[in-house]
Amino acid sequence: MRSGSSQSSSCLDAADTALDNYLDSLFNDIERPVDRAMSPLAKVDIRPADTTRQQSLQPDPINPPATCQDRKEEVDEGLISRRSGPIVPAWARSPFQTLLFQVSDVTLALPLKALGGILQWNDRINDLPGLPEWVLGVMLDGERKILVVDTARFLMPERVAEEKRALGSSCGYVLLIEDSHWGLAVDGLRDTVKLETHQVHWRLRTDKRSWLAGIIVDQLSILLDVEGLFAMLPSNKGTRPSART
Amino acid sequence: MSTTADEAFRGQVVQLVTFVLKGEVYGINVMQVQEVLRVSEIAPVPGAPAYVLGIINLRGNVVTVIDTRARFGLPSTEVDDSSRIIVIESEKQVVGMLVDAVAEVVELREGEIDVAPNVGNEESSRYIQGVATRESKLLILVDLNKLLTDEEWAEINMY
Repeated sequence: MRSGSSQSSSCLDAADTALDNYLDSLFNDIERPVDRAMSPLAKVDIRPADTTRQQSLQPDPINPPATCQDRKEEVDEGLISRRSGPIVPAWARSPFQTLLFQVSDVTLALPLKALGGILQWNDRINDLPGLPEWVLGVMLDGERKILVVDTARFLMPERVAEEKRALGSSCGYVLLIEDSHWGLAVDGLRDTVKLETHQVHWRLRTDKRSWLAGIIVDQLSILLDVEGLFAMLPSNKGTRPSART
Repeated sequence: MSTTADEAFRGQVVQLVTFVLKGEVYGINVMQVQEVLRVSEIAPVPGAPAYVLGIINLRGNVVTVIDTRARFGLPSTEVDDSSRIIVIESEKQVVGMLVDAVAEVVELREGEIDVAPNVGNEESSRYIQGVATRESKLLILVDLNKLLTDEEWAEINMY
């Protein structure tokens, strides 16, 4: 609005100034919360830049290159985590057959896919000097020389009384593991059972008792993990064929 | 503590399931007791700690059973008709405790619970919550959450 008089003009100017001042004051009030909101944003904006600079000098603990490594180590440590859930091996994701057998007072089970054969226990186990305590001896199977493992002593030494070393006199069997040179000495065979994945309580960690895949609930039997079992056996004594890897 | 608060404290009632081990009476929080079972087949688990007797099948669930006597440093004994498995739920998981016998549910006011005498045995003092007198007999309160260390809970929590 225009006025011809200077007085009117100055009034208008004053009014405009007052209005501007009023609006400015309102704007300043609004700015304060924004300032507060901006401050942390500003800090965040600065931090990545600092981090970037730091990263060139030393590993950044926030985004270290080893994050994946840390996670791998955590998994490798086999920390119990119900978040990660039961560990189900690939061979158990569809119905599978198992052989239940007795070792001392414990019922164990071996997936049939891992069973390379069954030999009758007899006097043909030869004790060689220098064998570890958990190896009963060497058994001939045709041309093959089978190292017979004292399964009780190997898997559960705490349950084996010194004087009760299973050696020959009682009836028993030797379970051949795949086509390796290893055989597990067992006291008796029980049954073969076909199982589904849900019938086993699978282990939650792998850092201990790697040979234990899980518990067969109905039979309360210990299901063996052959991979874990092989990992415990010396690698220079009849290892699996290269097809394993 | 003010008199009013003290009275309120003394007024809080705790219910305990009591069990017997080697003639001594122990009590555990009833809220942590799921059920009490007769002793059935306990399947041993190779490589388990010495205080683990084995596992049982509880309606399709595998429950680890602890030898409570062994855990408390008491000599083992034969299982008989009085023996029971108390299935408890701690912060960590569900386990069974083999005991000589289960007695009764008792109510105690918290004010009746005294601190256990400290005789320098850190091992037992860890899970002994306190003691109380009940009908001229000593009642030993057990803190189930501290019955095993975190590492020990992890050890038995394999499946």
